[in-house]
Amino acid sequence: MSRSRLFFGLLALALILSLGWAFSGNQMPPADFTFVNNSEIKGVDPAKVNGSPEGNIVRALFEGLTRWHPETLEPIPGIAERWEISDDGLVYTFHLREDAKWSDGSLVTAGDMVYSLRRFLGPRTIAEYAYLGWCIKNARRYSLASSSLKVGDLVEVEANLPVDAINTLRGELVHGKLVEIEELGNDEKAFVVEHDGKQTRYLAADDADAIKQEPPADSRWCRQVLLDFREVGIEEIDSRTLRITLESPTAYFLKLVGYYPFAPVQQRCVEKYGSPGWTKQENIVSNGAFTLGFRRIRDRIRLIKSDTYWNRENVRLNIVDALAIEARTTAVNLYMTDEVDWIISVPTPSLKVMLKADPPRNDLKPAPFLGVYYYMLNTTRKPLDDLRVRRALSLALDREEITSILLAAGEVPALSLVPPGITGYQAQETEVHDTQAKNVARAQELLAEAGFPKGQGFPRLDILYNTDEAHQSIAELIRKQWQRELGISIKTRSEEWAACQSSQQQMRYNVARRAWIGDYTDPNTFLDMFVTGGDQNNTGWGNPDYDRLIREAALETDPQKRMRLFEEAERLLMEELPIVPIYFYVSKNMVKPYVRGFYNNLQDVHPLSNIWIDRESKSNEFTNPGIGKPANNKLELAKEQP
Amino acid sequence: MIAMSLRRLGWMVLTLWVVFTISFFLMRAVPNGPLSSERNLSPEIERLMAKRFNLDKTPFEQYRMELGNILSGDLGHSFRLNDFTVAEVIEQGLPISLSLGSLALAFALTLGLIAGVTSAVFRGTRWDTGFMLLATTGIALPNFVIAGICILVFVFFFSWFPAAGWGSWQHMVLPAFCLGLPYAASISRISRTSMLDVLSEDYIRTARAKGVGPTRVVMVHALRSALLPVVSYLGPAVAGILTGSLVIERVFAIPGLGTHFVEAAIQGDYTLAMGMVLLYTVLLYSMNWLVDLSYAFLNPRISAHS
Amino acid sequence: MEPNQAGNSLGKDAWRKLRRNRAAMGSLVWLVVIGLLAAVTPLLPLQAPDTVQMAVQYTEPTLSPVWLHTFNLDTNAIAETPALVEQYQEELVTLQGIAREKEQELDQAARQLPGDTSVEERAESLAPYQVPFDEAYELARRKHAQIEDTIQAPYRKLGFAPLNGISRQFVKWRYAIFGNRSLNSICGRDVLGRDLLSRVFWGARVSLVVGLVATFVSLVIGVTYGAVAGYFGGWIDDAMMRFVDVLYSVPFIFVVIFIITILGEESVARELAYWGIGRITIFFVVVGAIYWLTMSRVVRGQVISLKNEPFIEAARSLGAGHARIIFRHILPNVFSVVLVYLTLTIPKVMLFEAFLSFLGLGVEPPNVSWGLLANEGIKVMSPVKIYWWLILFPSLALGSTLLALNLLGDGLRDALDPKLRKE
Repeated sequence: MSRSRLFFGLLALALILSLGWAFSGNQMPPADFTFVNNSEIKGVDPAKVNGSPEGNIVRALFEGLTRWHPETLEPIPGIAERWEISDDGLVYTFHLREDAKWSDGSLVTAGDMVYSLRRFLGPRTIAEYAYLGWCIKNARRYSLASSSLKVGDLVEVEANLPVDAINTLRGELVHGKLVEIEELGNDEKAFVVEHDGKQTRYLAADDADAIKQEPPADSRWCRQVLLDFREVGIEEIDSRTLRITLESPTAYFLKLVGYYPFAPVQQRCVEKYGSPGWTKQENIVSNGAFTLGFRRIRDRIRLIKSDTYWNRENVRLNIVDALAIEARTTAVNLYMTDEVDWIISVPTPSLKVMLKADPPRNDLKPAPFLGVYYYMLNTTRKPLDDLRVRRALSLALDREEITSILLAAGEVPALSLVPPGITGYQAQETEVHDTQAKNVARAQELLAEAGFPKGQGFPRLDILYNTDEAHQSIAELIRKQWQRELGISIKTRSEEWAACQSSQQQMRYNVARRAWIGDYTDPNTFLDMFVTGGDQNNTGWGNPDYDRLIREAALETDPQKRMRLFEEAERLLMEELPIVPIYFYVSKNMVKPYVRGFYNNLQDVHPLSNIWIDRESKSNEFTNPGIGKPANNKLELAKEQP
Repeated sequence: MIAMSLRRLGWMVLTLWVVFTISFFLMRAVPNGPLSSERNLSPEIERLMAKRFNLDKTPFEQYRMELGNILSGDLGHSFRLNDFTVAEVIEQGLPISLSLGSLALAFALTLGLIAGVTSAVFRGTRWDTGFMLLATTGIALPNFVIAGICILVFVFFFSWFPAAGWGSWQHMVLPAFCLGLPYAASISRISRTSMLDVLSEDYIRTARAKGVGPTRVVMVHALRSALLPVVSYLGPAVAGILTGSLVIERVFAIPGLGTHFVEAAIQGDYTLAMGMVLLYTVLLYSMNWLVDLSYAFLNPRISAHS
Repeated sequence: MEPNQAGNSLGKDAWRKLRRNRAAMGSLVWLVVIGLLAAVTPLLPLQAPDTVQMAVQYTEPTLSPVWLHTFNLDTNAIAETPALVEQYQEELVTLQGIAREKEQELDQAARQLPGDTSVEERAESLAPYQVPFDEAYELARRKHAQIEDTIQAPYRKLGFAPLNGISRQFVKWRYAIFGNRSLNSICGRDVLGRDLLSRVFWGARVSLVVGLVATFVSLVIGVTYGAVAGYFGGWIDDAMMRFVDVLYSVPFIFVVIFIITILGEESVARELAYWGIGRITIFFVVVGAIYWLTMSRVVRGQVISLKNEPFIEAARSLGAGHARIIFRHILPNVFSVVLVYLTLTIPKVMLFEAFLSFLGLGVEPPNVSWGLLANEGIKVMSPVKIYWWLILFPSLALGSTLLALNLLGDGLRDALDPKLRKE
């Protein structure tokens, strides 16, 4: 009897103790500004990440040579306080400001910049965005490592490191001239390099292999053979001056160096802790408006105002929380209960209702930006290799139905790849007729010509999209549109993001959803994707004329002519339709009315350093209910017209 | 009891090895390996990355290496959550899952036992039907529906609790309720059945005949024996609560382990998935071991071998 | 307390007890009704489940008018189908013949190549044969798809997912009975303007089949395994049950997700689709293959307690083989336990399907299931606007069915449990 009593006593005690422990979670001080940053970020290493949730964080932690103006997105001085551009537009000389400091108090030097850019371009870094830096002289060849080398090039040979060395360290460098490349088959090569009048034969081996095995006679192991970095147009003049020489005049270069992948990282920190260790909150040294305070997976990233940032007087937020929340409804719930101040994308069903609110809400203003939603067609597969089929699919699409009924936040039907809004550029639209009926009739004709009268015999293609409510309803609607107009039977298939990406890269799909948001305000960011074999061109389509036009545009110095070349390229793309554009994005930010310094802009980019809270308006709001938003979080039962 | 514990330990090690082997080869069959990123990689870099993750070795070699690593206690780096090691992921998530889980369990036990015992004692009455209906809703609706409705009612209609997040006890109440509800349902049904069994046993009748009050009969004599099946249910339930909380974690934005458990499998995050599977096995075995211990403790007549 | 009448078989006795349990009887009736309705869904005057009408997106439940006159089945096209299909079949046979011919030519050419030819050279020298083969194959494939398209076209046009022969016949009968009438959306419409009522009905077919088939698979495996282990006992039993223990400690959510991801990969999925295996079929098998563990334990326990009963001894002394004893004498006696367990497993499987739908790994459109519908309803619910009908009706359907199954299971257990029979 006492035995069981003891047992239940113990059980109860254990439960109470664990509950007490559970409830005693240390409370963090509340943040000044909290926003929902959608999915969990991949990391905070500027060189290594891409994607907009990552961008929001990295932009707050690091600052490049320039920054973007929060409203116009024009480049304004960052750690470089001024710069000179040579008359031919090829040489940029940046002068770093005296008070640009790392969060450990040391100065940000031109040497740091050179180190960071080299690291960004270096092949072992595997920077997602390295290709953006290829406008710098020889950067492309440096980045592509041995595959771009020719006999006669000046090269640097990197020696191997001990296996347990920090992974961000470089081996000792030998600079020399490449005398001979021996093809050893199986993608392996040997390099003969002349150095100090001596010729040495180098074989690439990974560090571990190099330790374990002796190299073949008369050869030496090396980690990699690269173009000599001194050949690349990045040069430290003195500790405050940096000179960058470009491959060709690049109109958007100043903007580009303000983009987060080009931000500096501190060599000492990176090489001390290795990657990704250096990005841990206890190790990281950054130079932006904020420092990393706390990070918990799928919970939050806490940013603390930096007290070494040169422009700290103008940063008004002290603590910012970025929440990683994948469920869209949860984000809306948090906003409605005043737990967060900004949500990046409001899910469509809620958005539609709120846009119809009367009086109109003052915390929701969708605005167009440089983003396009499109379907890729796998042109290596039957029957999508047939231009008539691709055109039929595009024509039969009722984009209006998608944008005006399904999405209904002001999205614009897309007939071209490049969204409107780029000054001086006229987007080239794919051919459509004036009414949808004519489009459909033509589509049916084309499909019949291709051998599928009434859509009969058409294979059961599937539309691949990454798992998400919005993509699912679009895919289903398009499936029905194609079925209705063309009589073909289509299926939909969803995959989780990473799986979907790899299916697309390996071209294991028929029709696949894609979207692209401009990295900078120029048609090139959209059009250079579709050069033959391009990283983002997973359609199997390629056209030498197209490649030539993009190449010529890159070299063209006259901005007008340059735009004409891009237009010609896009016309070609829209004639051959390896992709079917569907609609242009609008931003769907919902921001509390007391948040200031938040602007709609062309890239939907909102630097946290410019945002501040109007405390007066915030406290007013709670004493004055009824302005703009509900005073409490009771249900707003909006009545919607069917 | 020590012999039993040792035998258990032996079985656990063997099971861990089997689970490891099954999971290892299952994961290698997933088409999307860890190398799928947003860009096409040049073959040179792809080789480099493959090397970094030992993917260039034969499966058997990989198996040997990974087994070695795990034996030395190194679960490796997560493939997808690049900045974290598997140990760090578990370290961050486990306390949260544990505290949420214990609250959910406490709730499930309280509600389940009350409902089960009451409906057994008042068998065939309206109380019985009512409690059992209530308890059964927990296993009649998917938990995302229950969670959605709870949020609507308790967050927006009554404004009692925060909508989502983690940090204070208020944040835990709703998720723990939603997480515990299906288990409360199971517990109530198990305790009802065993209570009914016990109530028809002779010694209860004897006790009743001797004039022991009805409350005392139920609470002291019957409940103790009726609890045994509930206790044995707790083992798998705890492991399930800790790892099966994905839906609740998503809806309430809680950074627990349940999400990793499923996402690692979907995303082909070999190392993290392996870590989670092994963690699950260890948890399950420890829980079952605790259950066996409490069995032996509660009822010395039952031999420890069962 | 009624005296136990002599000659009352266990079944009759249990049935009598069950009939007195109102909750269980109500559940049984409800399940039968749901099952029947699901079986004859194509016969009911409902709208087609996959008719997208954006103009009536998110319409609330409405009864005015009661009938819509939009169900215009193209009977002429259906009437023409058999002749067309026959013609295409003939053409298909010819085309297949040609394809086979080209394939043989290709094979022959391939065989004549020296063995050490590299892959590129091989492809180059075979191109003159490969291309015609590919073309002929493509023509045959198109013809094959055309036959299917011809049969399905009239139904597809109305908004049906591909239907099997029985369902097509039902739709034809329904058209003969009700004409072009179909019930208005008394349960409202979803994001694409599809009728929720008919989606709930068509979802019932998928959900119930998922529950039943997966459970049946688990039943077959579990009962056999448990009976064998229990009957033979000794080291066989030990080994078999240890194996079950080990499997128990593999987290099954993980296994199911892994297998579904592996088999959902495009090339694999295409291969499986060729054999008519969709994600749902995979689900049946995988889930069935996992839920048998508990079943086998339960059955083993029963068998162990049964195998020393006198009637088994008698059968053995009469020279009956092991198989005969297990299947003829033992298994019928574990029926009651199995039945109870079944009614409790079906709801678990259906909930699991709902969970997979939540993850986006459930049934694929244009098919629907209750779990998928409930998930769609929850996803569009927000404090801003609750499309209550999108949550209520699927949840009601799913909840009531699962509740009924659970109550029936409880009732059965009460009725079949010998300990309680004394009462």
